[in-house]
Amino acid sequence: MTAVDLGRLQFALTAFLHFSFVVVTLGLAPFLAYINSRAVFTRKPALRPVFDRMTRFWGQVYVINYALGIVTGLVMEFQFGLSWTGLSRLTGDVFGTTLAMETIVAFFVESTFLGLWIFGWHLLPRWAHMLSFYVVTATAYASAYWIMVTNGFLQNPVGFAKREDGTMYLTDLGALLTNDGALPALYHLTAASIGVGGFLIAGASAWHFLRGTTDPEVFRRSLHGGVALGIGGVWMAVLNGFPQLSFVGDQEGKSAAINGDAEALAAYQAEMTKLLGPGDWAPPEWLSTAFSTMQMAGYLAWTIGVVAAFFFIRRRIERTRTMLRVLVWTIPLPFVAVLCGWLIREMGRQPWAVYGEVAVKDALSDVSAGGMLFSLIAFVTVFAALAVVDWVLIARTVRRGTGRMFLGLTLADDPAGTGRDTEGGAADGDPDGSARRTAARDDALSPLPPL
Amino acid sequence: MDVLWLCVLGLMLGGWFVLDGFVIGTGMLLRRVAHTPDERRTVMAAVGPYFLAGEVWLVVSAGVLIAAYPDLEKSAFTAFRPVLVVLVCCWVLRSASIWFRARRPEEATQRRWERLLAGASAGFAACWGLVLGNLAQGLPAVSGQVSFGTLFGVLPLLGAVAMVALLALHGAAFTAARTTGEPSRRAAAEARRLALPAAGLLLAAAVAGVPFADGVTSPVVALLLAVAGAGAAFFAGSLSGRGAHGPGFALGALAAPAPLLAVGAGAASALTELAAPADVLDPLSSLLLPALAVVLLAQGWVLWLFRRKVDQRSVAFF
Ligand code: HDD
Ligand code: HEM
Ligand code: HEM
Repeated sequence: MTAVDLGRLQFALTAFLHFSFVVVTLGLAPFLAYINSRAVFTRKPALRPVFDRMTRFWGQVYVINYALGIVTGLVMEFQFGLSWTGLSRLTGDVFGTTLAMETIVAFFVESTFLGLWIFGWHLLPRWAHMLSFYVVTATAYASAYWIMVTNGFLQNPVGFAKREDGTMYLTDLGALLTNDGALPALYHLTAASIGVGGFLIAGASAWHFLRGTTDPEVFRRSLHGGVALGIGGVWMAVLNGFPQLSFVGDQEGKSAAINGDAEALAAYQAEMTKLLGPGDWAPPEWLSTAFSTMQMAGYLAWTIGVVAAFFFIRRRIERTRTMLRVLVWTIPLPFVAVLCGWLIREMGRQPWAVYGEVAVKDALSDVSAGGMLFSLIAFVTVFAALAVVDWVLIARTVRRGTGRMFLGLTLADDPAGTGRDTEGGAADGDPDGSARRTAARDDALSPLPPL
Repeated sequence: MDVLWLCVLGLMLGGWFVLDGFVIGTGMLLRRVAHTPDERRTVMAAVGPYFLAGEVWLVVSAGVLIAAYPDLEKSAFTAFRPVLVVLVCCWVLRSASIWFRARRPEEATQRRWERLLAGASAGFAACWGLVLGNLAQGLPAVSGQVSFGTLFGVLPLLGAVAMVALLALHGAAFTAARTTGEPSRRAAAEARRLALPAAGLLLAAAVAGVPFADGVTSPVVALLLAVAGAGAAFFAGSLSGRGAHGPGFALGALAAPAPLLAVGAGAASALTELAAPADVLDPLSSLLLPALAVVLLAQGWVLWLFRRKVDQRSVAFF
């Protein structure tokens, strides 16, 4: 493999890992912001502890997931320097601006306020604590916007001019920020994220009913909310998907590949060979499979969601084990759709790093194949290991239910260690102990006066 | 404009050394200053609120580098690539072990994360020392490869050891100041012990940099800053050790970014030439500088909010 192939593989694998966490962040954040506000504003005193438990439970899933979103994101950002300095040199004056905006207006604020939300639990008044999560949500979406503007420029370069040495510079910021290659994709992607989050919430709650939960209040509400978000998100993703096709029509290679049109692909290959010299330039034909997989996964998940919704009548769903099991197994479906979508978008762009302007082979740094292999192996092993740890931790946190939670505990709460799990993860199956723990938990949540 | 953006870059990176520097140092020393699980939980609660808010300064630095200094990005990332790959891996492992350490209650699991945390934090600091030591030998030519011998020369190696000692000292001074009881006492003792080595190594690195003075545009400023940093480090350790935790930490916060500032100030006039052209920097300034000002205010507020020592009411999350 050449350095270019290795660099592409490295980018693809790390981007996939990064995105599988980011999509959950984007999907959970609005839901969490909503239940956090219910906990603050509810008029029924009996409901407050329920929403508090929900906030803490899904908040735990959110923060564990977020940990890997950050650490994989760090490498994404450094990869532009480590692998693609050709790209930075030729187009850095354009997309450097949007990347810098992302780091300053999105990440800087997001990290600051997430820290505030985690550690300000008893320090801030309840409403201020809640507001800090709204800031986190807004900046997560802001970062999605800025990164899609960056990626949109690669897909559909606009608002630039070229200097004599071939480097690009920005001439029209407005065009860059409202790029057709960015905004429709952003809508499609945020809708898809809501769908991913919704089915994750629904599946995890269904699992608790299968196991016989001791906290039906929390998981009933979560199940309803999750299914609703899942149906709505996936449906919006489908609606926003078709307009994308008209944009894709401008990229000959991509549209040939997703239509599985071998003839058009051969023509594209010939055209690119004329431009770039001999090489294997056209996007692979199997992208058509990825395209139909994305659609099928979407329709299937949506149908499952709609069927599940009918079972909400008189709470039948809580007794219908098959339906609950199907919901658990639906969790991966929207993930599959999302990853297929990215394969289409990014591989369909081949052989261009910036469509029609900069070829991928010119975007690479001066790195030897050995150097690229070194970083590929280093990043991918570190990430694969951490991703597995992270998913196991998320699964365990979900399994442990609302009996023992670590989010919002103070040093005084559980001096023996965070959420010591004496029942071996089966806290849910222990009705006697849970009453005592519920008392301790509500105590831990009552806000102290601000200092 | 190019000078302004160099200052922004210096502010971001320097801020990172101050804020994340003590998280790195505390990570290295966690098991030395906190002997029981409870104490470790307390020390992690002390760094907790600063970890997320501090780490992101380095992310922003990278964003600023790409936007305002594309040529510097290209030359530095090409020349120091192997070191930077290791640096990023250490960073990732350091952060992951902070996030995951307390997620399982078993002591053996926690011990494994704590060891990883110590190793990755030290590696993170050492890689920064290598990078700064290399920059002190002169800026790499655009797209020039650097030989292995240069990359791991005397000055970079000295830089690596000095940075580990310096950030450990900074972390010890922080822990002494923000905790109470045994961890605070042990951390203060650790700070006192580190004062002389940190200051001495920093001076040694400064001296080792003298032969490269030709490649540096303002060698005198660089040397003065390094010496000042060594002085600050020495007094940070001895003040902390004598119980003046607040002033000790303040001096440590001055010492931590000193190597960066020395290298940066030494090469400042060469660096400004690597800035993006004015037609790029002007729109960048109107977009980014106001946003940056607002974010800095928010950061200041958050840091101020958590200014008290940890006590039983502090949130323990990591
Ligand atoms: C739940 C997830 C999900 C679902 C159900 C769908 N998509 Fe999708 N799709 C994505 C998740 C996604 C994505 C991961 O979010 C992508 C990748 C990049 C992007 O902007 O969105 C994407 C990309 C993407 C692209 C490539 C855009 C480009 O290259 O610029 C097209 C043409 C479509 N989608 C079209 C559709 C159609 C016609 C669907 C109808 C069933 C559909 N998608 C369902
Ligand atoms: C491939 C280019 C990408 C780069 C360079 C990149 C960079 C980063 C970095 C550096 C972080 C950590 C920020 C922090 O410290 O808080 C991060 C997190 C994040 N990224 Fe990306 N990212 C990329 C792709 C994406 C995409 C495609 C999206 C979504 C549309 C996205 C959305 C986010 C979000 C929401 C976070 C917050 C952390 C989290 O959600 O877990 N990123 N990214
Ligand atoms: C949104 C910000 C993103 C940016 C700026 C970006 C940029 C890039 C760049 C520079 C490359 C390497 C050069 C090339 O092949 O063109 C690449 C390749 C790739 N990226 Fe992205 N990317 C982004 C998001 C993502 C995400 C979120 C995924 C997947 C989940 C992804 C999947 C891929 C794949 C599969 C490749 C390899 C394509 C190939 O070489 O055939 N990208 N991207």
